[in-house]
Amino acid sequence: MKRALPFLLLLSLLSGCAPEPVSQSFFAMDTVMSVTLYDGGDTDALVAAQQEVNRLDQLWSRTRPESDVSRLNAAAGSGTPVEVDPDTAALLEQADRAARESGMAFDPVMAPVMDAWGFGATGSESTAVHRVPSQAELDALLPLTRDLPRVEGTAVSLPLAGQAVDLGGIAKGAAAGHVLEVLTGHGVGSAIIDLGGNITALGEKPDGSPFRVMVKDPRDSEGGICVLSLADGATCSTSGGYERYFEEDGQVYHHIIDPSTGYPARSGLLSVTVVSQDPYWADAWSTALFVLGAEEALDLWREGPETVQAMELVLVEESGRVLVTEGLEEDLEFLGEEAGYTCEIVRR
Amino acid sequence: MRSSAADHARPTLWDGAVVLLLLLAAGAVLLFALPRESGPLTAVVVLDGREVARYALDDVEAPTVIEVPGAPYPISLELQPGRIRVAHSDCPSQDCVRTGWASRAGAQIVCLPNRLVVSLSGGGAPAYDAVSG
Repeated sequence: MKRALPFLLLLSLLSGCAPEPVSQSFFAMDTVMSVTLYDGGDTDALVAAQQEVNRLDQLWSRTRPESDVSRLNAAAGSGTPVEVDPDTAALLEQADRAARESGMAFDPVMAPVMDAWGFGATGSESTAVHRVPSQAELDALLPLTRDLPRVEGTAVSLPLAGQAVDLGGIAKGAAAGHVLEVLTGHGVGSAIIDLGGNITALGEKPDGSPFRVMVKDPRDSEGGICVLSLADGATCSTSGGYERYFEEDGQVYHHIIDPSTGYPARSGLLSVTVVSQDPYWADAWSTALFVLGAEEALDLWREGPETVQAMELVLVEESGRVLVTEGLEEDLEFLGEEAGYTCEIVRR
Repeated sequence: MRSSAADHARPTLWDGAVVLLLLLAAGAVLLFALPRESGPLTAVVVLDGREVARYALDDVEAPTVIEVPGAPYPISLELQPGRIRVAHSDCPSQDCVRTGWASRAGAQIVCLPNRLVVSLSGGGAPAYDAVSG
């Protein structure tokens, strides 16, 4: 018994090893965000993360007149470049690349058309005025959505008057990348970053298991399609019409505009979820692939740009079929059966 | 060769002090590190800041409807194995009814007009850590 006692005491010490997760929620970029630390409550890290997101929001928001984006938009067609923060220039370069690689399915200069629908820079969905623009109106605005901003170092310009940049489709992903840096700089090894539903994992949970992320059911806000494991450093980004839409004369119009038509994309998809080690790509490509549709999305995943081949996808079709690329198969928990969804693993 | 410890059979005061320290440390670690998921799945009903009821949802065998006593707007809860919801409320906003079933630790059903909060805790590890979308 004398020999056993120290051993038993040691065991009792080990049983409560993992600290309680500590979370900080805040509002930014028109949505609610949270950072949750799993390896000790370093409040300095949480404060720094929130401050970083606020800093980026100040640079990229279309509703703040002094932001880099607002100043860039105000100078469109003037011929005079605008000086922006290096982080803004970097974001515009990433947006440019995503736009080119997606054949403009991701289009960072869609603002004039989005504004015509009332999906633009209103600052709040509850004050947005939604309407269906006429074809004539769209015909006049669509030419303003083709030319990407010119970026030379930190000097940026839009070539045509009336053009405007809206980075809503990539800003949260970009911000997640910055928050990751802030957290690792503070020595955080285990955390979940949730920026308006854009999820990034830092490390693993204290027990060594990966973070688990549920993909929402587009048809039921409390339900889920599946739960997947999110690897260290990976970002999970979902785009779907169900997130923002309005109804008029019995028709539903959602916010993901197809740049080739000026109308909400009707690609047969309810949502696209992208899992990628690059947070910018996860965000931008979830939008692009929603516009392109399942067939094109999988073609790109099999044989398209390196960026897309390196991603994993969950495509929820209107028909109820859920397509999951094989990299997510292990640890996938499918939840959609009860709601009538079917699951298919897609292999290369 | 016999260890010298075998020659000193009686514990000393120092041994006692080490034991005490270890016990305290173990207790402290357990207290601050209790995961939220431990214990049975429980719904706690708080009305105007005071706990008025507590239900072990895993012990519920058949659907049961319970009136919450003392609520300004009559409100009843339905308990089923593993979940709870507001069955009926006379409140003007009806948000509590629209919330539907709650079945996981951390879930909350709030009825503002009644100042009523139903919170769930326990029930083992949650099925996910975050929601995308």
